Amino acid sequence: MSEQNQDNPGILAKMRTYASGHGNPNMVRLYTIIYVLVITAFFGGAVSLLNSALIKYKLENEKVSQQQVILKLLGLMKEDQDLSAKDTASIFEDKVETYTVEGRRMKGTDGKSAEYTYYGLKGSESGLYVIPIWGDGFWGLIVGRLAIDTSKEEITGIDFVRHEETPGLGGRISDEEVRQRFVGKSYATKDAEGLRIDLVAEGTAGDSKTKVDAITGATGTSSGVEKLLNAGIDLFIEIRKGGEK
Amino acid sequence: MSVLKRMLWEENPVFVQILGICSALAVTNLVKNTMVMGVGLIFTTALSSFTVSALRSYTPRRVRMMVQILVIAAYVIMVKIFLDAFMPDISKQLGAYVGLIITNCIVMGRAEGFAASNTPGKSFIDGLGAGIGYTMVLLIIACVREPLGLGTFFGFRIEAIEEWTRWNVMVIAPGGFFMLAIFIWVARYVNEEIDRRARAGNNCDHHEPKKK
Repeated sequence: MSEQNQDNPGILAKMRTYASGHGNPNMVRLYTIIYVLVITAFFGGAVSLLNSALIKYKLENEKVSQQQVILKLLGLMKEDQDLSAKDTASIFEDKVETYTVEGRRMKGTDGKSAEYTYYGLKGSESGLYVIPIWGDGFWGLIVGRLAIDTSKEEITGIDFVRHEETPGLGGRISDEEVRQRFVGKSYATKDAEGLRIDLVAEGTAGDSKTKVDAITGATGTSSGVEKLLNAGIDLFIEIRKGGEK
Repeated sequence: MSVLKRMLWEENPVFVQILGICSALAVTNLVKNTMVMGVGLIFTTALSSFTVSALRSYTPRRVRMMVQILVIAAYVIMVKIFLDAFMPDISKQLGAYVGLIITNCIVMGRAEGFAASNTPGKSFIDGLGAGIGYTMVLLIIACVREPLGLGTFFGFRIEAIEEWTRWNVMVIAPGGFFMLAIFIWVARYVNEEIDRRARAGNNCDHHEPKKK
């Protein structure tokens, strides 16, 4: 430990005295302050060092994880499937078309502003796309990926890649069961309030093609999701109409 | 070493001292997650006990506990960084529970209760023992919960019980409560039986009762 690398035994003995609370009260206070500063710097530094050394692995894992989200939403990979980083990258390379739209921005999975990017199937006219959706949740930014079939104007899947919502309540938007609620819903028309997809009180959606059961106890999150979902779809439709591919 | 043995049974942190219960309930629905959690806790408790003990003469008395938390937090963050880099799936599954090792009573309990007034070597063993004791209990519970709740063991399907209807309660928190309670009940009963027989044996033999 750095504190013990002193040659003069007198200093160590003095430190022990101050540590136990004896001796000159001012020196005891000074020693306490210095000790806390040094030990914080030491352990803080050690943790930071480890982090910088290993961060590249974490970022690589993040990238693979994001690619897998898109593969799953495009139907190229099953939910429980285990795919290596290499296989993920090669399937992504072969089968996924990445479209970026200049002049349009979105929030990326890291929460930062990025160029608007959406994904489709290479060499296919299927109309299946994965588009970005983002907006404010109850606690913080929610970033998601929405899979849509433009030929049927339906939602085929959804995944929330980033959120800070309450675990067990708003956090349930990451649950398989909740995400399934969006599948098969139609975004073709806007209702009287301008909503394509309406999040309603849990249990009241029934067979409606445009209503989705929200999460009871997570009103803030649910209304945030309703807003960002509709905004994301509106934006995509606008981009495609304008031919901004 | 008797320090180690003591932490495994007589003063087992989970079923005797009733510490570290939240994580015991949360991660035991999967054996794999339990193992990772166990290793993380063993690492943290052993090393933080060692470090706290090494610094004990130089740590100002009044900030003793703050320093303990700092040391524990540092080691737990190291565990999290390691998991994020090399085991991202497990890191995601364990979620907040890795970070919650910092708040696990066992770690702080051993740091303040033993390491603050014992030598580094002994403290390391004590921390190791506490972690192993904890992991042992959790693994036993997980070995019941995962097969009954999900029909798998360590992620692999178990052929023999394919036909068995899954006990969903084992996957959720109440299942953990029940299993843990049953474990404590059985363990305490076994302990009392051992004590009772030891005492009965002593009376019959007319020997001096053995001092612990």
